[in-house]
Amino acid sequence: MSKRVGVYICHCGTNIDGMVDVEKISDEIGAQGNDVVVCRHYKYMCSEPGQKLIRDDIVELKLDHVVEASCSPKMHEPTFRTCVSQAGMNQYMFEMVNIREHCSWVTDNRDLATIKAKALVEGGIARVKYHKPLVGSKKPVTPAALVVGGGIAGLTTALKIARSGYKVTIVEKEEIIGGRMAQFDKTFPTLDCAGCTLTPKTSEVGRHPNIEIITKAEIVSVGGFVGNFKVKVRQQPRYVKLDKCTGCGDCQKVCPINVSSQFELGMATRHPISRPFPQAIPNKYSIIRDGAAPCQSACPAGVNVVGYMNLAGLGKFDEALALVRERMPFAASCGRICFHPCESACKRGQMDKPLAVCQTKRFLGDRELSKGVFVHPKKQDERPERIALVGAGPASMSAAYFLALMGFKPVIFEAAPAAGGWLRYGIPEYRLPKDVLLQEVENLASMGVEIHYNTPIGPGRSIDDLMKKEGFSAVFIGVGAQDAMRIPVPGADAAGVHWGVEYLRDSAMGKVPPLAGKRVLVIGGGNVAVDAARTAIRQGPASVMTISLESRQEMPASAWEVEDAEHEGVSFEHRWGVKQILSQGGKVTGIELRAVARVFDEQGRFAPTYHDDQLTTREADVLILAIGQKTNMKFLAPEDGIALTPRGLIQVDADTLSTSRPGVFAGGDCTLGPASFVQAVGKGREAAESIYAHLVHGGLREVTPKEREVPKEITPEERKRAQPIPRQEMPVLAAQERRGAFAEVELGFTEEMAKAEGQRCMSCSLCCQCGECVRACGPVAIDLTQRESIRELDVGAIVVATGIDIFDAKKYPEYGHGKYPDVLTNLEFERLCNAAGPTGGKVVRPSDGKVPQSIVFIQCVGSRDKARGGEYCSKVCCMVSAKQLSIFKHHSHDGKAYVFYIDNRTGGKGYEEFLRRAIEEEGATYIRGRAAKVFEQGGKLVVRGENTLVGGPVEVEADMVVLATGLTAQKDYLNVARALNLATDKNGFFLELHPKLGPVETSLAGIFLAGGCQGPKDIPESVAQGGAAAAEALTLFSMGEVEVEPTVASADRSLCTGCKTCVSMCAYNALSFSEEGKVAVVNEALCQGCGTCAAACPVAALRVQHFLPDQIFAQIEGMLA
Amino acid sequence: MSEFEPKIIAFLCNWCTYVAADAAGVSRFVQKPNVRAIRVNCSGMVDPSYIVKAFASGADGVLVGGCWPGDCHYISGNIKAMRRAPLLKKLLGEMGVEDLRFRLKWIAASEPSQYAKTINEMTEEIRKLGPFSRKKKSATRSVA
Repeated sequence: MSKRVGVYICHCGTNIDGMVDVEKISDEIGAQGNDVVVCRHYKYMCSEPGQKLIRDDIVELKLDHVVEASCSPKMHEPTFRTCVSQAGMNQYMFEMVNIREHCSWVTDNRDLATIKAKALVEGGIARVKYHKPLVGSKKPVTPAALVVGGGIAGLTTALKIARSGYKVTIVEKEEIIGGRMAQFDKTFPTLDCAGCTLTPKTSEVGRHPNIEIITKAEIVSVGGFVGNFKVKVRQQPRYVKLDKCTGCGDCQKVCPINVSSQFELGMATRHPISRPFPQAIPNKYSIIRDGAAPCQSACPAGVNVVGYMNLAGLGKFDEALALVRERMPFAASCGRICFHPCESACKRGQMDKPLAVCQTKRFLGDRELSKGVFVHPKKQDERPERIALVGAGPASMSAAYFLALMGFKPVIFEAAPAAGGWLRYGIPEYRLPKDVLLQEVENLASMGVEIHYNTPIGPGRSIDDLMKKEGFSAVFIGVGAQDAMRIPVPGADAAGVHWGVEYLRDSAMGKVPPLAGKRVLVIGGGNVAVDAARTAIRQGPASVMTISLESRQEMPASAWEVEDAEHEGVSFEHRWGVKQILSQGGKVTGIELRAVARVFDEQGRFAPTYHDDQLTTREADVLILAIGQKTNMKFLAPEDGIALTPRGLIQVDADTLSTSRPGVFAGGDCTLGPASFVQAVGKGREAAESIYAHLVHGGLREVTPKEREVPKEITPEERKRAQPIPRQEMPVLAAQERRGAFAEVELGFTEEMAKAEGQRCMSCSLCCQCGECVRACGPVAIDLTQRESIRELDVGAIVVATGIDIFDAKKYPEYGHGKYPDVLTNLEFERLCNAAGPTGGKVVRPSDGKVPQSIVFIQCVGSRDKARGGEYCSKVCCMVSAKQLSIFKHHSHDGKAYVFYIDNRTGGKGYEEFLRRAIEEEGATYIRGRAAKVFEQGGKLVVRGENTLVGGPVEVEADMVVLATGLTAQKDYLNVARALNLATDKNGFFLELHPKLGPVETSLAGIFLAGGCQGPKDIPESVAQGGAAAAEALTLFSMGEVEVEPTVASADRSLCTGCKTCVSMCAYNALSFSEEGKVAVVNEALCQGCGTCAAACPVAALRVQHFLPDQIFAQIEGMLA
Repeated sequence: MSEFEPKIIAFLCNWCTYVAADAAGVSRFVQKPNVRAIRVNCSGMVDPSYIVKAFASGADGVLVGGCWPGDCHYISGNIKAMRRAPLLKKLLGEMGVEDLRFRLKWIAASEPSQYAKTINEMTEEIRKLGPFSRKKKSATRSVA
């Protein structure tokens, strides 16, 4: 069947014709026949005469298809679709070919451009012949708008839409609205106060019933289409409930932390709980927190280290201890024996030494013990359930503590005669004195925790019995790893051979034969070995030596423990392994050793190999083999139904700690293998929470997502915050006093020392969640448990008004910003002038607080400089400097102002007059030329440059230098662009649909731009554009409905084999399988036309209208012909 | 024009890479004139047969441009395209199409310079490879 195709090629003035020989293409195509009835070219096809050309041809030549080659279809496809339909043709019988953006504008060779353009047109002609008439449907518009960014442009848009009676949601990244304008002092050319013009607007926005403001939020993604967008918004926690906060400021007074204020550009500090200025909207407080500090993240129990350290720094020791107890009930013990991963993670360690976290915590615990009053949080109402806990080690003690707080009745069953588990029978007394542990256990008992000693659980009284016969509602297993690992060493049965863990336990129970005068050898490189050696040296031996497989660096024992052992007289030998134990008459005489070739294999796994030819012996009377520990699982009875892992540990769910038997939970060493005290305590708390969820809600615990961690690398900001206090050194017992005694070695901090340590904290998380503000807040508005949340919005139109950033002046190191305190950017100068700013509106030098007598302004910092900044003119800086020098002159009448400028660009109503006043009335000296350098000479700043008008170098002395930094795209413009699919120019400004005729539209229907995000703008322009964007949105709302393209999928029943591949592909559930016809069925109302199903269909039964395979195939062939 | 001018077919996603190509035009990022772009709704709609067809019809290279993973206008069409690509590459390899001739690229609307760079690099690399010889016109029409 022959077609009648009309082809129209546009010159676009010289935009296309300048690079593409339009006439030649037109002639060639017109001559080739091949269904092309007519081919015309015209200067401006989109103009009325151009369109008429097409319309007339359709009627007169009875065309049934039209191809139009010109600009991007994103620009004029709607124009020409309307044009052909006016002439009675279905608009989908038209194809538009892009030979401007995709060809003439990006090609530098006329011949090649002409070839390319012709190929593109041929592709269009080949394709259009397969086009079919289609009819679109109408969809209602959601009459609500989203405004991204709460600066002056966005606020204008929001107000105009809201006043028209439609709902508006403002999504603002910061904690307040107002944007850049809120930071300005006065505005040009009227010199009226920015605040006085802005704040009436912000307060109207704040109280307008049609406007909702979402602060600290960003757009994640946008789905849907014009009139029907679905927007995902991610909101960072504000930690202050807007509906409760009264803005009284009581919280701010008690906040112990000071951090640099971003709003004040680092020229002042703020408390993490604060508001940038008193008139801010929302006029409520908010907390800035970057995430969990490394110390808190590193703590297996999740103790809020930053919080209690800061409280300790304030001397608020009771509050600090209470904060520790939220996660760690046994502060005095933990402070003594913890391996403190918090200190290893502490960022202050990158600067001098990490905080003495552990010892401060011990001080907090000891302080309470010495007072003899145990304080715990208020217990919840008593509950009837009794919970059995097996073993009285750290995991069970922790679980019992938290269960008691929840109102349960915990009952601990312990096989040994005393509580504490490893704390009692593994950790030597010189590290953890028994009376400290005893006191912690007594405190626990005082909360209503029952502890039954000498009561082993096992066959006879099994866990099954506890639940079935004794009526316990749940069981927690917190058994430790207290059995020594034994390896088959020849001669190990000789008298005088001990096993590490058992030796420590026997020592703790006083059951070890005296070592007086004996030579003791300890084998092992872990903490148990070192503990055993340090215990032995206190029992009066002739000597104690430790032999390890590992080198000193490879030893798993804590370095500080090894050092202490050496101080006490323990000697160390490394890289020897046991070959056999030597004995005589059944008594140990020594040990034969072989040299270690390597300890760890290439993957870092423990896999020692030996040199069997390198042997040596050591004499000894007592041998302690400390080579590992394990849990004795004999307490489990078959009827308990508790499964073990292949490693022989109790199998638990990682999040809920539930075992294979419902109602039985486990934590600590019996699930982890030999772990640490603090890990066990953490697991105990988690188990308690799981038991609560199990018994009270009848389900498993909801796991709250972990807070994200702040970057591990120390920042300059944090260095600045760090107070110059050295780490407090722990006073210790003299080494000679340690031998033969089990007195505690570390003597503890004083109040002053604990306070000093607390003050060393840099508060890397910003807000430390110490809870001071929570306690001070009368209306109970603060909720520190808030987490980031996602919200979904349904809107019909989106206005992007994300504003501008200021050029980073450090990219011009010769101007010395950041090096000389009195070299400022113009925004910093703005804050200096502002009455609400860091100096209360006094223009003084940051270096010495003196009033400057002369200021030099340097123009075009980051503007009109392709090499280092933007190629573009930032448009406002000339006026900004003229304004700022005028303000300066009004402050100090005798002051001198100089401006190094390139050109004065003061287009705008009243702008040039304003500049003239700055020169003529304020007497500013304008020097034409780029400043070359700012340096210090004799305590004064000197600006060197060239005066290009008189020709020659010039040097000007200045008390202050202000850099007229240009405007740039926001640093995170790419995130916004990606979330919204916006196009940007090379400078990061969002691309408007048309630079002249579509300044607020984008290539995406229904998404509009306003303000600086589209390019540098002053306030009046931003406001005008904000209004224009509002008008666009309102146009959409008053239209009420939009046409939805009919480019949706359809299924060919005769081809479909019912394989259901497409059903699983569709992200919109638009495809379903019809059981009746055994074929796929498309729900056209849900289909978005993405075509994923069509590409996946193995038999090509699914296709997307207007993107049919024969259309695409034809276009490919046409283009390659 | 003695030098070999490769012909490259580019399937560009309407929401990102096509916009980037337009923006590259607005910014006048000069490109090699060897690419002929076909606008599609989503990279996920590009049927493998289109690519085979392009090579069969004389293309020396094929580019599919889509949104970055996570940014798809249609939630996850680009992920489907990404999953399909290795299989298609294998198939193309068996047909004698060298690896460099077919590319799937993520180019956001905000990355016009990246678009121009991709075009220029791809053109030059394919120029080095030389023409793709298996010209089989009208070979795969039957798929439609």
